Amino acid sequence: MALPLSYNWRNLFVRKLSTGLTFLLVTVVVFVLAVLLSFSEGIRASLAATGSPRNIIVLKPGSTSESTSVLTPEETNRLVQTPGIAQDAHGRLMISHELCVQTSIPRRDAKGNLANVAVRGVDEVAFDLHEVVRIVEGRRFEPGTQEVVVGRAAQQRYANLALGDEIALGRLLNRRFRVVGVFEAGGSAMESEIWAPRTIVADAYNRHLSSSVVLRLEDAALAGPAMDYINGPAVNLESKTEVAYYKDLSSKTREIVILTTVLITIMGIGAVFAVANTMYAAVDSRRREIAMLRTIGFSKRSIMIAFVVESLLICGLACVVGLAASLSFHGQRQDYLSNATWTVLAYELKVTPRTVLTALALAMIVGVIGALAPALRAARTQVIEALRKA
Amino acid sequence: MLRLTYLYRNLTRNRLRTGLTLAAVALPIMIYVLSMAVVDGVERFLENSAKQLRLAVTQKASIVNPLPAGHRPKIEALDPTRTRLISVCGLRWIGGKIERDPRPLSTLGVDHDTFAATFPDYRLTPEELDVWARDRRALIAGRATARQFGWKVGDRVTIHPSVPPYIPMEFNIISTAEDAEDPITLICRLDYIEERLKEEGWAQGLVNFFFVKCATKADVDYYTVAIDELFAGSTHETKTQDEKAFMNEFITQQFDLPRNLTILAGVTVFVAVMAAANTMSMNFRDRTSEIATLKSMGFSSRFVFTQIQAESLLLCTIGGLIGALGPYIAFMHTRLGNLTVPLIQHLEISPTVVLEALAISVLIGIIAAVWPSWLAMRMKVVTALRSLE
Amino acid sequence: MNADIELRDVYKVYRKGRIEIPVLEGLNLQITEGEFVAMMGPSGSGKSTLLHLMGGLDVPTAGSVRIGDARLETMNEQELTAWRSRHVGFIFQLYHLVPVLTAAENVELPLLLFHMSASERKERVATALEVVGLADRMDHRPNQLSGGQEQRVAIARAIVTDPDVILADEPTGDLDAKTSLEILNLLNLLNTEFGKTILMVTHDPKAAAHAKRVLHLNKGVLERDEMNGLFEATEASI
Repeated sequence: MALPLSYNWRNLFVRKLSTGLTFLLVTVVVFVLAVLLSFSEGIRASLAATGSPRNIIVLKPGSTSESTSVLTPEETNRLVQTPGIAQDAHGRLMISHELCVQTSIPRRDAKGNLANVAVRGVDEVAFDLHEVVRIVEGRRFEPGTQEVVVGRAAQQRYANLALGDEIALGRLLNRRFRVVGVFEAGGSAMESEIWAPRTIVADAYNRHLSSSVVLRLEDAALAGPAMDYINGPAVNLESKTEVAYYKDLSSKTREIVILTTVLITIMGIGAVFAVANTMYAAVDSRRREIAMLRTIGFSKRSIMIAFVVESLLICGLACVVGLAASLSFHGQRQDYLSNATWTVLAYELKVTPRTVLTALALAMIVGVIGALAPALRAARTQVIEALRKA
Repeated sequence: MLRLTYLYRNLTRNRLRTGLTLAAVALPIMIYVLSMAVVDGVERFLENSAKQLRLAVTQKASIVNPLPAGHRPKIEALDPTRTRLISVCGLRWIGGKIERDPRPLSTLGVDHDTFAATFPDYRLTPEELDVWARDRRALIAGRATARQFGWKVGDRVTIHPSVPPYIPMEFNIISTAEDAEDPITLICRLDYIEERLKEEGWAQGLVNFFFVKCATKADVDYYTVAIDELFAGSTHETKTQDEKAFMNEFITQQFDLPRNLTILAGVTVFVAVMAAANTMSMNFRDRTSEIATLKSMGFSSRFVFTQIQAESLLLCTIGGLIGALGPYIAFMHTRLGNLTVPLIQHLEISPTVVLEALAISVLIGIIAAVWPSWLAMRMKVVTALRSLE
Repeated sequence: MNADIELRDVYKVYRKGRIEIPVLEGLNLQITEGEFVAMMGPSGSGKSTLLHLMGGLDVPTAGSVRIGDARLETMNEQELTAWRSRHVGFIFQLYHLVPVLTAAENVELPLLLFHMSASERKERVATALEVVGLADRMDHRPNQLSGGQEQRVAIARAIVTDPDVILADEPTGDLDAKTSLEILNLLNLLNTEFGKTILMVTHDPKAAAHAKRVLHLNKGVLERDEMNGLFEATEASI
């Protein structure tokens, strides 16, 4: 036999201040958790969304990312023999030579600090090969012209990247390029980039060797043999699927995730103590009431459940409010300087279902653990003694 | 004396509640201390950078673009007497990894002849400097990195650079820079890298940045402008800033830890306030009749006010002590003290942070007791007594 | 010191939201020093309010309350607080001892309001506890004492400052018959031996019988004021 929920609900209002403070406390903890998670979810989402399992990225052995890799034409020529490369509608092999350089662009926030934005020099094949890339405004650049297309995230995070704007690129920042298009790439890391014609970029930066080559395969299942071939003596370069490459990049943010987890755990434990404190007080002030309930036939178990439910009500509501508050951060653009590529990655803070579930789990755990010991004390209330004592 | 007895007994009256509150205050204070230790570390690092009177010269468009090594004599020519501009050291980043280990290294090749003069904060011994000058393959390994990989002076290590020449290079560890500010970076000689680049047919004579050691703060300001003017209009324009600004740019771009951790610390203090306030209000509730009795006996409102304030203060200060001294002692006496955090080299909990945390605990105590002690002060004895009947 | 009590045209009205509840309606009363007065009446008759007014815990809506030289209705909160500490001792139905302090410490509490050396305080506490017959229970905490013992500690606490007036609100309300009798005898002793003026609110006629004078309140007015003829008889029956 369980006590009605309205009993729990009304009891919350008997000790308004105490309930309120506990509620607020759990709300803040959930809020902090949700915001911290939305950072790491945002980063994870942008890196995870980037790769295609059908694409293989080829780098110089030893280099850690595209920005530290340099491939000679002699090396890239060896790649043509790789088994399983897809062909486009015109029967050409889908091989994209890409040149990764950087430029400094001010951020759009109040301080306007310069950010090191990635500039990718590509040929037209890149647009077909990176299937997630879609022009959503304007058009593609014309090969051989000083035109660029910019990623949606870059456009939102950095200044002067609107359609029709001119930006300075080149090793000396002396070449003017016009923004002719905006592309989306499924929220991936590429959306933080600026894409420009490869030959023009090579000229502007005086860098004629490619950074990486991306191959599109006919089927994701062919990735294994293709990579074996490339990593083997015939080509002797380093290859990874795009998915794996970006996953490795995101592992660099692991330290931040660990720090976050440690802090949130400490905060969560603190919240457990606070909730326990409140629930103990609730039990103590209701000893006679509990004795009465036991007298008229409520079981120990239903008394226990009543107090756990009460704690869960506080924590559950706090979770909802904390999450709601964290939604105000949802969609905000932030960026960070990757220490693997030395370019910035603009990502979107995301309150994902995962965030919601994690926050809910935390709130429920805090609620249950915090209420367990007090509820046990409630259940063990000595009926006669409690009734006699004023 | 009785007042103190009363205070003490009040704290031990509900041991469970006191214990839970202590924990609920101590843990946020612990977060505060840890966060501030990180913030502190960054600040210490930046302060040291500022103290060193060094300039960082990078390529104008992007720090990633290289500069010609030939800039060095041109910069040196700005002060041939070496009285204001003490030394110029070119640096080239080669990153690197060791065989079959995914952990990335941070290796820098430097001009070996000017390294010691430019980076006296590495505090190398004369013997070490002697070996450094003679051995082309010398490697100064940051002590934290050395510990992590189990290296010691005299070891031979092979590093695979992440940039050209890309081929494995052998180094001899000549020092683990025990007294350096930076315990992570590996320092090797640029001429060794150049030699390998030449063998492998890569472009030579490029550096990522120059560090310029100046004599005074005024010289720092002067050369910040003078160096950029020197190369203005050339094909290799430069951007010169003092080392602190240069470092700060990296730090704020990597999740801006100092700012974000400060915010987090503030929020957790708020959590502690609520936990403590909750306890104080519950205490007040439980003792309404007692406070009414005290007042009926003729104790003033001020007495009950200060009594509640004192209790809250004591409670929170003890909580603060646990929360602050816990990590302090842990970091002083256990291996946690060797922990390295990205960017901030090593985590150190300074007495200042501990004192700050204690001051905040006192503040938490005062704020937590504001409402109950005010209620107690304003409480009408008659009303309180009647409500009990 | 002169400690007679005079109440003149005392009105007390409580406000509960918009509703005004009259509790005392033009009460006149004189009590001379050294009297033992019981106040009886149904609940809501205003007897507790009267006690609170005489103890300076509350002020009348209209009228005057004089205790000795003190005109309570003219005093502010601070003055009343200071006055209470010197001139009245309170005894409550539920004792209201501080649970974390020992019997001696509880009794010592009001002495903290006086400039008094520790040794003098100790002496006074010992005397007070001796008067109530609990000298051997000094170091016990309230929860180690029986109800009657707790009330004796409360009485010791009320007399330790040597007040002129002792105000007792249902002092035996929570005690059994035998213990009640002990407490009442103790009050009697304080009245006769130490000359304390005692005002006791009670609803128990047996308890009231111990007083020399009984006031009957009803709906905020003094209904009857009688000298207790039964007094000698009750005492004789013990």
